Amino acid sequence: MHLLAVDDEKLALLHLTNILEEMFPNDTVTGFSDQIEALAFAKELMEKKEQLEFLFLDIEMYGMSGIELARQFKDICPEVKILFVTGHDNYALEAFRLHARGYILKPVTRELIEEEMQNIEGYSQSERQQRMQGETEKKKVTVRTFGNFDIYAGDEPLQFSRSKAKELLAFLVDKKGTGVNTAEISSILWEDKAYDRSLRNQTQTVISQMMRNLKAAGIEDCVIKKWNYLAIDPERIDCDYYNFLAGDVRAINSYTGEYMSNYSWAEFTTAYLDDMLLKER
Amino acid sequence: MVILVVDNDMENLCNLEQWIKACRSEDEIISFSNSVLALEYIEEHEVDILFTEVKMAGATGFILTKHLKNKNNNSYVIFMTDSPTYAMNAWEAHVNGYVLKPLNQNKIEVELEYADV
Repeated sequence: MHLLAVDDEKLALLHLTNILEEMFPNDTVTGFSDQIEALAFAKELMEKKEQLEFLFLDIEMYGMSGIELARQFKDICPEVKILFVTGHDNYALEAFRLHARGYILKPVTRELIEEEMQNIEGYSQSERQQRMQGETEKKKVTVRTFGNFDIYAGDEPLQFSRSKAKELLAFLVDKKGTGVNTAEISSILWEDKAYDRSLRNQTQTVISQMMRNLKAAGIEDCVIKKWNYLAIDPERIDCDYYNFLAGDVRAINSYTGEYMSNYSWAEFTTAYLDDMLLKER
Repeated sequence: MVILVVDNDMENLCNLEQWIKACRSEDEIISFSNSVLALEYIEEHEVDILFTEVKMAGATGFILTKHLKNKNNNSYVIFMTDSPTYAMNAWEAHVNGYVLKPLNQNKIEVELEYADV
């Protein structure tokens, strides 16, 4: 993932990017002393569908202020986490208005940034270390759909904090890598309810819970998550349903008429599989 | 989710309960006008989101935040108050949101959206 830093004072910028490179050795850190260049770079990242995760912004700069810059970045990349790095404390309220994730007073130290990261879920020091270890030995993900739906990280079946979080993952598997948006997810998980603000919030909660459960098992890379977009990464999982479709004999033989039997919306795929089986014979 | 709301001002407390219920029908909303009782509640129960005034007799918003964050690092705290004075200290206390009074339904909805992400 990408981290960007913007400060018109080059020494301060270098100091910050050095710290970030130390903290995030597997990710890409880019520094800009020019606000417009930084914005253009962010636009490019969005076009290439690359993930811009963190933005570290100075506030008092020659030209566009960090506050205005933050607004423009949010337009390009609504999900980016913004942390202000500044010598002035009088923008504190404004930073809250923008829903920034941190406000660090200069001079910046690694300790100060680590402290902010502790409070951003998934980015504490221990979580980052775990992820770095995990990246060198990726866990095998096995998905079983014939019968009840289950997912295994290595040999461990995944525990879900809410049944709807598990159902959401099953739905993504059923979609075979096609992306879904929040409204679609909502209509599957809550079949008869109107899609109002409350339901949208509840849906987003379920999405977060599912991602958290995956992260806890170290396999969050099975799911591609972007703003209003969620999809399974079919390459990342070993799934009996996908193997069946690819013509794998063992997978075909393991199908006995039951596919994700605990979910009513799965009946369409079940009918399709039954069809395919008839054709084989 | 459990949402805790704390404010000496009863009118604000009532309004908040209504506004939150309107956009989070499935969550549990607990309110206290006495911040010391709120502190006790935090010590003994799970709380996911805290909406609190800052300046209160007994336990201040900062004290509630400190105890809650100690128990649950992933909890989400929103200060609601009538002045920007506490904003810098709020950042240092790892408060997640800060809204100025007077409040309304929309401001509350926005804060709750960010609490989920």
